[in-house]
Amino acid sequence: MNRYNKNNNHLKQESGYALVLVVMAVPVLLSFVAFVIDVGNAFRMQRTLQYGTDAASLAAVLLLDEATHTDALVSSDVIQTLNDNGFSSLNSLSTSCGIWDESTQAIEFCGGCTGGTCPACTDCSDTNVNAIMVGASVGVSTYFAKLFGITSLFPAVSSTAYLNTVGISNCIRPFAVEFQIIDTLAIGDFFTVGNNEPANWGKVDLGINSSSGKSFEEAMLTNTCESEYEVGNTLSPGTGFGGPIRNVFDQIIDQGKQDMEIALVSPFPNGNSDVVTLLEFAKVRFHYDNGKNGQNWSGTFEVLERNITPPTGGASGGISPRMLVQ
Amino acid sequence: MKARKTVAECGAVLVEAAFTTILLLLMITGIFHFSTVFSASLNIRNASAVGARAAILQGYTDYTDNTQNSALVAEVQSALTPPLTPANLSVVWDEVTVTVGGTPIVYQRVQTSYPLSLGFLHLVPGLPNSMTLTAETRMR
Repeated sequence: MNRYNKNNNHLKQESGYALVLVVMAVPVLLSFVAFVIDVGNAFRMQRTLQYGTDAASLAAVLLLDEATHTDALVSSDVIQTLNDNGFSSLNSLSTSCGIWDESTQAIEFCGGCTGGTCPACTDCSDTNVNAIMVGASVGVSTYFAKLFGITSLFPAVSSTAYLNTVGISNCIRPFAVEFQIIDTLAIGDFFTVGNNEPANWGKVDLGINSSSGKSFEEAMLTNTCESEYEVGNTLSPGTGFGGPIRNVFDQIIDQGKQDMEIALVSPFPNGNSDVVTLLEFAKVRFHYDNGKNGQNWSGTFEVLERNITPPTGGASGGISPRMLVQ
Repeated sequence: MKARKTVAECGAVLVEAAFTTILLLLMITGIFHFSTVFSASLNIRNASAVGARAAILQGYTDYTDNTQNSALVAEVQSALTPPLTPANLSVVWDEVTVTVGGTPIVYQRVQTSYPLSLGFLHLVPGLPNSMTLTAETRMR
């Protein structure tokens, strides 16, 4: 009897407990689900926006490879690319240009220098810039968090793209030295060209209009060339320099583009006015010059690699390889 | 009389368990399906971005060239991660021109689509048993 009563009371007392517990737990569980949906959706939009800024930075960095580019042009290009990838309305957008630093694998932003060695640029219109960072955030409406007054989340992303002109060249520079100068040298050896009569270095025509100093300068700084050459081909030295060659190499130093693939050629004829034969491609590092200019220019290089095969990816059109960093 | 009442209350726990189990199963199924769609959506989106990046950076220059097109499609499909099946991913690579202020801008466009099975949902009458997820990336 006692046992019967006990069981009966037990059932009476606990009847409906599970339902009550579930009713209490469901709002908590639903809150978790709501949180996951809202935050998950924000993460999804963040990832999608990342693809948009990737596209925008990769498109805009192309402009930096052109002779002239303004801040406004770069910014509008970024906006256009984001728009074409579905982001017509953003919470914030920033575009910053700078010079890519290979050693730190980061951008040295123009205009943001507060000390130390400052990048040689002021904004995106500067010819020195070779990297761009696009930062953006987008407002994502919440489904459930708005019940608690949170109507939107604002995921933010950034993408950095740069022109990989340092260390890796997409084609040789329009600059050649005589094969015999470095023929017997080893990797790491230094050699000096110039101060020689007849000249033992010269510019070579790679299909670009490098007869002016300006064109030669641009080609040297951007690795531009329009034709592919093979060992055995003849190269025209072009005509004249039209501008101080020393400035070109000064800028090469300033922009950290000292590593270059060049042509090793047969001896230059007197006055550099005749064709030379391409004998080998080599990778060298420019270190310093002697301060003179024109035909008297002289520079010291280091041998990095011999008998290389220059990549041909940008040979037609002269576009530098683009790299993306998120 | 008392005995009958006790017998009637004996099934209460079972009934409660039945209700709560259905509720919890519905929630778990919903979470499962939501996360599946969410993950697949990101996966397909990523594949289209991989394709667009390849189209502009890796020497794919002509979408009308069947060899290049097939190679890029294979690259996009290989970017897909399990449990999605690469062979089920449809990839379209083409160019699209947008004119801005009289200046044409040519993008490499990679569109991806995937028919995603919705698992248990097809057991519920009226609900679709699959949905097609799509993504598009434009780069130049």
